[in-house]
Amino acid sequence: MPTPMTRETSTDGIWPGTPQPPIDHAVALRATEWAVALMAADATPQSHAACQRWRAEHPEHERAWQHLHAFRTALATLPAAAAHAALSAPARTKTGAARPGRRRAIALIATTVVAGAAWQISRGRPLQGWRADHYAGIGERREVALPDGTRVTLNTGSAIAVRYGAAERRVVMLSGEIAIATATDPAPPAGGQSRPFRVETAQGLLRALGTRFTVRQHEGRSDVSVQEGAVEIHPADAAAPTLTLHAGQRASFTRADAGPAVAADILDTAWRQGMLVVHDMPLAAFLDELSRYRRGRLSCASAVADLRVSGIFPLADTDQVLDTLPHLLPVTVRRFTPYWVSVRGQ
Amino acid sequence: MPAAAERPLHQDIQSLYCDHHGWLKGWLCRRMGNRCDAADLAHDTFMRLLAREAPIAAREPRALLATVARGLVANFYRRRQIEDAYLTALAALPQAQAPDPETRALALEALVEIDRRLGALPAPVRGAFLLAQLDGLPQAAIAARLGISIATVQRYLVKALHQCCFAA
Repeated sequence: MPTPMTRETSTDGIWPGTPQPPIDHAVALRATEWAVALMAADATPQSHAACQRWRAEHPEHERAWQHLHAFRTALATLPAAAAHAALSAPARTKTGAARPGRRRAIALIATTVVAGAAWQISRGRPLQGWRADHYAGIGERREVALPDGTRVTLNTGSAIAVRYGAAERRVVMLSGEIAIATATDPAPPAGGQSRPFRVETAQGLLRALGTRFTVRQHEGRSDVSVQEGAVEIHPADAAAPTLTLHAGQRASFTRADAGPAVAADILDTAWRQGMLVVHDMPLAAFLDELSRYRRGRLSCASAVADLRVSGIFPLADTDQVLDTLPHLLPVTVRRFTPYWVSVRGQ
Repeated sequence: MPAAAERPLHQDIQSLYCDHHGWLKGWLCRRMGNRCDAADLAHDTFMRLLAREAPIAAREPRALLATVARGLVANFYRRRQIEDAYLTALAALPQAQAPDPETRALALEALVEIDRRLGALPAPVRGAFLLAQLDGLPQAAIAARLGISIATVQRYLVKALHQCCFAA
């Protein structure tokens, strides 16, 4: 059996690149033979010891071995069954067929967003089988009007389900980030009060008290920021609402509790204008933010992760933002493919 | 017309771009039936040529462009195929095992890269590799499943692992 493998913790991601400088063909082949031999059920302590000796013979042997180990560790982080299915897909030999590409691509983004949302939710509460009524794909921003005139803007990679009933108007946050400007309920029940407007996240329920606010679903927590009016936070596992936020305040909440309320961050709303506004943000966090708006992988070397970034960046063209980074900080931006970019020290 | 080999590489590409970019986009669009993908791949074709070290001394520039573009079209569809198979398989997973969206995107990049490196290895070699490295099956079980000897399984594994791990 292979040695127990742990997930790589490096911010450089799961995929070890080609070794630099290249490893000699014969050495690489020998290292591979050792690895396969030791994987065998009948591998003896003697063969393990022999492999150890081979590794100690020359630094290049050890380098080849370590590369092999890193590679197999990376493989072990993939979900086995799905990876197997993907890699067994028979190669297409004919590529001439015309296909309705763009529509399909959009459908795929939608599937990804909705499916991703379902997983996120399933961590915190039983999967309720919500389907997204509105979504915005990666890099998209979309504004929708709900039946009562409430306006919702969906940020990149976001999805919501709309559940308006007799007793309440509810928006279920499936993933991502939204900005809401509530409208007065045009159809209150006969003789009754207007229906409350609520937003459900994986961590609890928000009640809008005549208002403009933003909500972001993180893993394991939700963030709320209020621009106008007030919002009451009711964490899922709390008996009653635990915090009311007023204009200019923001707070995070988990299923257990909310708060404290702090001053709102411009980052909460700048995306509605298509801008990423940051002040003194660690580079790694900045790149995490930026990567929400682009497909593929954006990694940050740990050596430069703590450099500070301040500025206003247009979200419409994240590649352009990446191109400006070397002018702001002592970093270089390497592009392996348009979907695979890494930021390192100079 | 001056000899192509004597001019700087980038200028070659530039004139190639001016003279044939429109044609290439049209050619790709007819093959793919989609203007956006065609424009992306036309761009990638020129990027690919820019990355080459060797001077471009093509007597038939359109044949060269078509050759490079054809490879990119094949990669494009292969990538999509892997993505489809991957997402379909993920959808069947129990929720607890499903990766978050970010991990999923990284995994997809890795899968496309592994697929490229495994390249044209025969199906049983590829199969043995996947069973061993992804599913963690013992070599005896792989041998039984593929109807080959354990020694052959080991030979296959060395071949695939070596190619996948050390190939450029």
